[in-house]
Amino acid sequence: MNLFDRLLESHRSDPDRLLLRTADGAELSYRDVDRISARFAWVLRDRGVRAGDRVAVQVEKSPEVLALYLAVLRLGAVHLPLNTGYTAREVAYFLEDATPAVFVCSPASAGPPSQQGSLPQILTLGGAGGGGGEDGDLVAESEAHPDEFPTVDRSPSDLAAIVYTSGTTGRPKGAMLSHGNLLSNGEVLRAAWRFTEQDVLLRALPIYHVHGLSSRSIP
Amino acid sequence: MLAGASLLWLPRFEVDVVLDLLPHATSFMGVPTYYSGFSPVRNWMESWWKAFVSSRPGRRRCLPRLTGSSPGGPDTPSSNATG
Repeated sequence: MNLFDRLLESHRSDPDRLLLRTADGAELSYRDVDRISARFAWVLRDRGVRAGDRVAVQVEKSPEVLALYLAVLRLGAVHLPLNTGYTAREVAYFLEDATPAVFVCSPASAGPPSQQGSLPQILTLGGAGGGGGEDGDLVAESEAHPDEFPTVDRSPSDLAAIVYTSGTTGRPKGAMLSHGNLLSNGEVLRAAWRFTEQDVLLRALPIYHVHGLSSRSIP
Repeated sequence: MLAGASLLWLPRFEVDVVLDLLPHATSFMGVPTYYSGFSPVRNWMESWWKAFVSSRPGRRRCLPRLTGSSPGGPDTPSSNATG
């Protein structure tokens, strides 16, 4: 039971169904996001990311970030979103604590290795993540990869995401969320709010926040 | 995605952009600071109401509690309706 399969289930019979429209009118279907996330998953896999590895993400909100989240899920890895307002020193703590295999960030945050602990890989989302076009550009690397990726099987108790607390009572702690946790959360909210395929969610929330993480599953 | 629905995807919260797009949405999720951002905008509730009514008649019953008044119309619920 990989959460990715449950999230994409609804589009299998209608792959061209609209998933996302941006303010400037760009549209992505469920099939589009499926394909982009497959290519991203291949890049992460080629970079050595395996099931259970953490993928830290600190980039500006874009449709590509949604695809990256899905790529991490289908690879069986663990999504670790970070507030874009965190300073380099704060980020260093998270990276040391969570020991991610990959850190996806803006080029400005990439910094020298000494600021990023012992990270083996640093990637950017190119222009989509607030930078663009240099070595380690996940979007550019993904273009050479297939549109399909074999989803890695996970159990409901396997880790899907880590969201750090705000740290009001000490240093932030990583809250561990499983595939089952996120699926249950999404299904309960979908039922409580009576979401159907006819709904259109206007979404301005940041994606690094836990509410943003949960609510992105519902529509 | 669990429901097969769609998203209007904004990079950040901007009152004017959100108000422009509300009529095209059936749902909006926010945090308290978002709603405080709406309050200085004249007629924002009217915009919200129009979006609400045009998109999901079944959800109208939420609004009378928010506004403290009945908006009228054939689908208007009784005063003891709950959101």
